Amino acid sequence: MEAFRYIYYLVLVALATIGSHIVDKDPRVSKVLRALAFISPIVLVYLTGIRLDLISAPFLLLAIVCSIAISLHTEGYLRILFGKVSPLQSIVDLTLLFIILFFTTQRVGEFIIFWIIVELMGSLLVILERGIRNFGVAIKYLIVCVSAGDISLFTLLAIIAVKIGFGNAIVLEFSRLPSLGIELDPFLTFLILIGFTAKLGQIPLHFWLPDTYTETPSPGTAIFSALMSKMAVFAILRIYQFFHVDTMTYIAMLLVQGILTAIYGALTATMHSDLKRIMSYSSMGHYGVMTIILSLIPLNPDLFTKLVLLYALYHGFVKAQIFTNIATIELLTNTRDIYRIGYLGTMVPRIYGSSIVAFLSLIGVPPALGFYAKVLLLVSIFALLPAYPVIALAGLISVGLFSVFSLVYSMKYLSVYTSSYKSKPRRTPAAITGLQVWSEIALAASTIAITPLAIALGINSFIDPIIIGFYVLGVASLVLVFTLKTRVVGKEARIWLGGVEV
Amino acid sequence: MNTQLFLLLIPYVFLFTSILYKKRHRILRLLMYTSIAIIATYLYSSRSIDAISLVLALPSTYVSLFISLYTDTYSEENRYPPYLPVLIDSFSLTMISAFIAPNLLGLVTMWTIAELVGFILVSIGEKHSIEGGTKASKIFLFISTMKFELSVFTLIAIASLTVVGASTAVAWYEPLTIPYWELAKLGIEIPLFALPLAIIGFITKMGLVPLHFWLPEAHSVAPSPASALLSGVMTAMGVYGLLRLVEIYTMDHTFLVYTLLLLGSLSIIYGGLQSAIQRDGKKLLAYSTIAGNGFTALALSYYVYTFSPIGLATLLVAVLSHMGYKTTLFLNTGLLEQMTGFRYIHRSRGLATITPLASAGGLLALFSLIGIPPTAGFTAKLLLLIELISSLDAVTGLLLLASIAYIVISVIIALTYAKVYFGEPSSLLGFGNRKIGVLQEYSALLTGASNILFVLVIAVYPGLYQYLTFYVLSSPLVLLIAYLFITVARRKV
Repeated sequence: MEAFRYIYYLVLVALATIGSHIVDKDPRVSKVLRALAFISPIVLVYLTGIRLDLISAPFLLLAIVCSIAISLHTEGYLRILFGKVSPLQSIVDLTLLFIILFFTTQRVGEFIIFWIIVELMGSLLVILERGIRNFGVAIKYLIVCVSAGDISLFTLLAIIAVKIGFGNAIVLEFSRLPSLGIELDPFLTFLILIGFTAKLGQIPLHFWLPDTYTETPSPGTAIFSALMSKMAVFAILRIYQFFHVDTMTYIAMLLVQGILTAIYGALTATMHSDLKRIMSYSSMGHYGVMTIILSLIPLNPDLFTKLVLLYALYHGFVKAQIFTNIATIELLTNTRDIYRIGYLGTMVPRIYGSSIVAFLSLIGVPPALGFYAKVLLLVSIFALLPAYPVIALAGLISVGLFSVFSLVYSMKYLSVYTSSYKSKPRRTPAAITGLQVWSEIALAASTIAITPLAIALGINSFIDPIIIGFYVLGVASLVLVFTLKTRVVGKEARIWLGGVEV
Repeated sequence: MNTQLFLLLIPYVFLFTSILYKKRHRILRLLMYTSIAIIATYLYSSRSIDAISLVLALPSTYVSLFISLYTDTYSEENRYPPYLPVLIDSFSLTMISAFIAPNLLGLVTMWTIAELVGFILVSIGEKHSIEGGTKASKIFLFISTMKFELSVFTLIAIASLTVVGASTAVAWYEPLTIPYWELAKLGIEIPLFALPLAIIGFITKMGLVPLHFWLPEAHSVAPSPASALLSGVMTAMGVYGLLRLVEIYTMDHTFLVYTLLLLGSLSIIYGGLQSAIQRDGKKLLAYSTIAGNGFTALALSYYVYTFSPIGLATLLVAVLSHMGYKTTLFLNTGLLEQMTGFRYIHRSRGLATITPLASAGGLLALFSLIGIPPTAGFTAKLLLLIELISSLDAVTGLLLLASIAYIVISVIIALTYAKVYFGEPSSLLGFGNRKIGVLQEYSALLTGASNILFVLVIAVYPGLYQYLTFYVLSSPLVLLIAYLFITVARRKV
């Protein structure tokens, strides 16, 4: 069975490689092959011996949907930038495929291999577009993030190896780990977590994140933010599931890191004017919130595990969309300075609708998933108040602050589409391809469509019916607004600049 | 004495035949290295030599073969004297023989010849090279070779005196000719006051701080194939010597453990910091040899501390990983030197565009240095870290800290060097206007493949065979990644 699965992995890698190599000659066949490689792990799930559970299924779903969208988007992006797509496309596609395969791993050895391979592919993404000029950033990423991750992975392997020997540890199945009953002391708990929180850009190992995210070409950043960070969340969830960690260290470490990072990330995000830097710091803040939720898992395992899954899904879809959107904005305007961009909504109406959805999702307005995630999070932490007043209060304050600040930077983001620019446009925007538009629309649609699926997780039986009501209302009003805008309200003949007709 | 050992003369026959021919034949060299590999395997199967000898001899034969094939064009293009390739062959052959030799006599003889050939190679480089020190060969002879002789004669004296003192029926040279494992049964003890004298030569050979200063000089002025052998194989002999010392003699192990721990940590920090600021590619690699051997010293220290079988496997993989990546990188720098006439790497860019195959080999070496599965470097770091974490106490805690420092430092060294492959080819690369042979490119690539191949030695150790699953799964992936890196590096920006 295992040999069969490995052959299947190799077939997938071959499919993705061939698919991305023929992308210039035969784009259609290439799209089919790549989509086949990305989708088949979830379609053929039982045929291939891949086992899914509550924790891996949502991540796999996120990875597959985002992969297809990001892969298609990258094709359009690279075609506009370079004309010839295939060499760079193969790197993006293989990274996406390795991330998908990471979520299907079942043995400790596979987990480690795919983790390190994805990290390396990440460094390739950093130097993808600008080559040697981004080398400094790649070095920072490799030294801070990757070495820390390796230390945690080695610790993980060592802890198992002490129990059952090195050779057995490498081929051990995850499902057999709980039966070993491994206890971790505070120091080992710290060591095993630090690499994964570094991957999540948590203070004090956070400084690689803004640089890496900003300097990486935007499709790469979408992969970093939407998918690679989720690998760390997945790993921490697995560690809590399979080992008896030292609960005090676990809670204290993650909570402190999470609170500091959430507040720092959100505050810094509001102060920048570079669109991508804003969203990088926002990602960091979101990871802070996720770390807070992870830290609360020992207090109510079932609830907070589901909550972190929900939040990861929400953040993954939104950030995949926002960074692909930023890629489009970069192509259109040639700058990322928000004070120099404006009125994109009027200039490029094709991507306006999906950006509005991303904005709504970021600030948490129904029917986007963000609303559900944030409401449930605040309610769940509030429910902890009687039993753990200090933790709950700290969590509430930081999540609350984070939400307020996320409103501020989301407004800044939307201003790119609405407000006016201060300088004259140097050139007419390049025509973006249908691939980019449709992949952004697909991502926007999935942030809305995923909500019913998330409700099916059954997190809070009291709030769920209310959420369903809000969801239906939200979808209805969104449809109404779009219909009104496209059918009823006529197009403005000229650009409206603050009360004076041009 | 075992008569089978005379089989080892066969490769030397090939060597002398190749000297007699005016034109050098590749076939002869192929026969020379193949025969020594076959003989080593045969001797092992007839229990004339032990597993450690075989495990070190075969990989050094592998890299030596490709270094030898590489040297012809290198020597011609750089206008080295015509006898350089023969010297390189004799250098590698004597070192391999020293690894194979199952007794002290063979080890000392072969090693001493290797030292002398090494001295000649360094002095050739010293006369020829534009850069580097002017006293490198003298320092090499007086520091490295003399210290080695000092140690090895101390060891011989102790062995002889003990044996002769125990029974008058035995001749003084008897301990020199019996195999190591017979010698170990005699229980010869090294007194504590003689221990520093006994290990100083091997520590100097490994280039550990504070006896490191001959190393960057010698390794940077020697011709690149010689540097590859000096760094990859000769420093491994230092470790090998210490390993035999620990195996044969009884002594106070605590002294050795702490010395290696201290010197290893110092070397990692000093070598790592120095190599990160070098602009001469070979100096960078020479300082990284110091850091790399610091890590090997940690592995040895751990092995001496516990004597666990996995500790030995770790040590051997650490030695072989260093052998693999350092030879590959020196051959790569040699190509750069051949093209430009000098080897400054701080402005040289775009090597991947000019020599894609050799660069792929170099990237595999860098992967090993960084620690990407399943390369030898990764395996060594992984095994050592796992062993250390699973037996934490004061000593292993310190070893763990030093190993983590090495992991970070090795990434920094690798990334400083990796810049050479990326970017537009700089105008400097057209300066020398000399050509690179196809065989040289393939040699560099196949030497690079050693970084993946050498992991297979751990399959010898029971309890580690499951690692092969891991190996089989990840080696195609790492090749794919090397290919993708070359794709990115070759792209015109």
